[in-house]
Amino acid sequence: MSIWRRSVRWPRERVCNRVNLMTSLKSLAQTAMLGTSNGFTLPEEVAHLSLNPDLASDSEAGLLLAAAVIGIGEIGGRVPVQVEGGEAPCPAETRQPLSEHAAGLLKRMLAGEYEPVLPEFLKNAVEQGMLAPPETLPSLFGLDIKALRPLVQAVAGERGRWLAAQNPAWTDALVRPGEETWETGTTGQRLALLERTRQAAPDKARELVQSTWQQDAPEVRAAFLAAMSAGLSMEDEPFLETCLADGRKEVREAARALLMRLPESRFVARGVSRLEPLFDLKSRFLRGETLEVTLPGTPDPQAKKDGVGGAVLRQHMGEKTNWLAQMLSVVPPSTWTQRWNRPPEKLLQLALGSEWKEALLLGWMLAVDRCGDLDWVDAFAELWVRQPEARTLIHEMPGSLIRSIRLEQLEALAGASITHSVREMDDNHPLLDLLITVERPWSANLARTVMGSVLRQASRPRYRLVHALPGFALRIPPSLAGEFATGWPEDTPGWEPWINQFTATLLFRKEMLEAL
Amino acid sequence: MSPLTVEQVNALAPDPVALKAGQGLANARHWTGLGSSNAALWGLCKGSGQEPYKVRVDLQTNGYACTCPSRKFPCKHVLGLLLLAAASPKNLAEAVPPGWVSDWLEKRAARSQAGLQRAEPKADLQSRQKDAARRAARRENLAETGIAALDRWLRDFTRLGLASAQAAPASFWNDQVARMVDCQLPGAARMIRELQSLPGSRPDWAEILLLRLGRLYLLVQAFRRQNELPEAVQQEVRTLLGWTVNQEELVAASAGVCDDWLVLASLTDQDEKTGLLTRVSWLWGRASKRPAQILNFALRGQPLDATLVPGLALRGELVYFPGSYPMRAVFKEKQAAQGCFEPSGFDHLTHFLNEYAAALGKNPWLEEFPVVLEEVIPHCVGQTWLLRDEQNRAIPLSTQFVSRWELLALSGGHPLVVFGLWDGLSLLPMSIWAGDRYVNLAQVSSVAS
Repeated sequence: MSIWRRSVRWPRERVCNRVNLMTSLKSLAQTAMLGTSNGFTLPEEVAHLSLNPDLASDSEAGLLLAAAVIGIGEIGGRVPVQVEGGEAPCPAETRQPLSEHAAGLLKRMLAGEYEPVLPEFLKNAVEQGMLAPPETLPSLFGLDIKALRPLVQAVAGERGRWLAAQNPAWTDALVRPGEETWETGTTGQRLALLERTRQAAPDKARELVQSTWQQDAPEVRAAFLAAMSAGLSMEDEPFLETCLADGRKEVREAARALLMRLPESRFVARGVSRLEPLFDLKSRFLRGETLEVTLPGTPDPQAKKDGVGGAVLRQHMGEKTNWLAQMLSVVPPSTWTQRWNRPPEKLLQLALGSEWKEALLLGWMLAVDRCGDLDWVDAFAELWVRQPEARTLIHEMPGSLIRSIRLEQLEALAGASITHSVREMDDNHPLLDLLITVERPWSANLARTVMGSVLRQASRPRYRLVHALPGFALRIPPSLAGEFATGWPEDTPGWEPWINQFTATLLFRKEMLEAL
Repeated sequence: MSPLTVEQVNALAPDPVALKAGQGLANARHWTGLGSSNAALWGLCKGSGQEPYKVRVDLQTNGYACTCPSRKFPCKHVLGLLLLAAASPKNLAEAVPPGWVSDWLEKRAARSQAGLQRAEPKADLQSRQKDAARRAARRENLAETGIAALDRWLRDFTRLGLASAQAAPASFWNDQVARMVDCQLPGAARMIRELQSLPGSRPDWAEILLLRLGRLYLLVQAFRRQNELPEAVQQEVRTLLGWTVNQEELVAASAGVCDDWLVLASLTDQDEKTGLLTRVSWLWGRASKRPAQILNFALRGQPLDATLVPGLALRGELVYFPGSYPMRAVFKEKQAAQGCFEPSGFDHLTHFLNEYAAALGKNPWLEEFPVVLEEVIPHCVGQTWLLRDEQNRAIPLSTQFVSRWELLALSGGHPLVVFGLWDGLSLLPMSIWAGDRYVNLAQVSSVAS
């Protein structure tokens, strides 16, 4: 290491003799690399340093002993180097550190044990205003999960900001980007800046996006549009309308998803006017209501821009039915509930009575998924759980739709569809699909209904249900841990590791919440 | 209640598989009859057998027993019980130990008494002494042969040139290592084995290799002229080459240093071939202000002494092995771990380097120097990591040290107390004290990786 100043001293008892020599361990090593077969004469200045005089004429012994004497003298003679003063020290924290116990749990999660519980831990730690111990910060920063960043930033405190500022890899993710990053920053930094600006001043954020729109890559443009979802208003409509003509499919799709949520937009008006002539809600005495549907004709160029007539949604559906589904998928579903003054449940039942039921259900489901209309979401959840025919037609619900089902609706569906010994929540129960996907915390009622059924089935051969248990353990209220840690049958072949993981995770979460 | 934390229990595990299994058992649903007292923890764990396993932990001497057939020690049931006690002590209510626990505790106490009173059978003492003398003489002869071979190898190597080491076959090192082992010079064998990975490993490898060869040659010379050397240096030379001192005799014959000994850090290493576990623990005496190194060995599957818990202090009498700069030591007696304190060390980096120079003067073969540095701040210049004091004087950190960012985070630019090992070139930090916190850096890095 070149940072050392070289000086040689031989420490003997308490006296140190400092000597300056021409010979160094480095110069001896250069000689030694080549070997002494061509002879080697010990430099005079080293020879007299109390070496065995017999060895003066012995090349190998002389070199080795000189190396020992000079080398030990060098490492013993090292003195510290002078450096420039470092970073200003980190300012004092205003918040409390985690308890030793809670910090221990955090370290276990960072080491991989109960890792899925980490987000919940961080969320609670931040709510309590607690700080992670400094030695966990590099691991926390290394997580690199975007959704966790604000939590990590909060739990890392002043120490975290101080540390991140010194490591470029962490600075990007954790330090708030300034306005100048819009021109020069990475996509991640620009997105962070956009998200922040959009919260405070939505118009300014849109102007930022427009200022570099022509130069940005298509996937970046699509990501920017997605980030504009927060603070969306009619002010954005003219810009979004122009994006419908973008050369790239993902940009057009992102623009459509935003415009759908603006009922007064020209885009929605066009969508409604295209569909209006195709529907007729007829009410006949004694025969109830029916929804008459005419299939659409070939889409015009504007319709194509608006997302009708592109790649088919389902291969087995005809061309026209595909167009119908695509047309429905770009119109907010609330249009129909208002227009016909019927609740979503009723409209879904009318759709099931139509000849074009698959297209109607598919189109509406995609529209509901894009708009996140909660009444329609719950109506689809009910349809899924209660009507096998509808399940076959729907085939699969998008995860984002399932994740927005209201908790009350899940609770009601569980209560109605699980019955003691008649219809347990087994592998084929439609509610299981929903519960596996839903990520929000369950209510005590839902947990008791579901787990009651699970406990009654334990020891019976189940595959999907057993594998869902570790996920359930992340959503059940931890206060019920005691209730579900016991009460399992004695003999549960095939279930044992899953039950263990389930109860251990639940107990760990309980312990975690108590420790915070 | 159990004084062990989850981290400490993790450190006890004989292997990761046992630890994983133990973690699975750290769940009250596997247990019945859980209880604890000041002296012990116990519980019945449902296993694959008919009867539940009886699991016991002696808290005073850190002993454990389980009725399972596992040959791992501690087994997963013991680990599970310890983890359960560490994580949720409420599950182990305070109680009077049942018979199967109290009987075991009594037996353990009786056995340790017996161990102390074990008397030397006197009958054939004389003939055994004679045998020992004959063996010792034979070993001296063997050693001389070995030293002559080492001398030859070092000279040949130097004549050929160190550059040849980069392309040397493994047998170049292994044959010489085997020769040293055959001549009962395991210390010399270890030093040669450690040379093998050096060539090409770093820019200045030739200098380091030459210095190590020089030190080995110095050892050859010192051994040959041992009669001219002071007694302490003679001891040092013989210990380095591989003569061992009988621990029991040493402890019986010497007075120890009574002090509060803080365990600064420990490092466990397993030999891949033999499975031999070696744990090195570094201690710091509160009053004596001296470091000490304690070695523990355990064969595959056997437990290591668990009484030395990093970060905790214990009161006891420590006997140093003889040598020119005594470092290695053994406990003559010790009490259970209690409390902790912040060790006092060097407040100036210059003072530390002066002390190191003095230590080198006494023992030129000193490989690692344990040091406590007060008031130092981690400092990063480009890719180089250093520790600086408040006068901005700095020493480099070892390139082997992986927890740099953790160390920097712990400091936050404020001074820390750092314990580490100095090899003459750079410091390998092992543990730190920040305010009232002790952090073992070895455990931190396992988290990071």
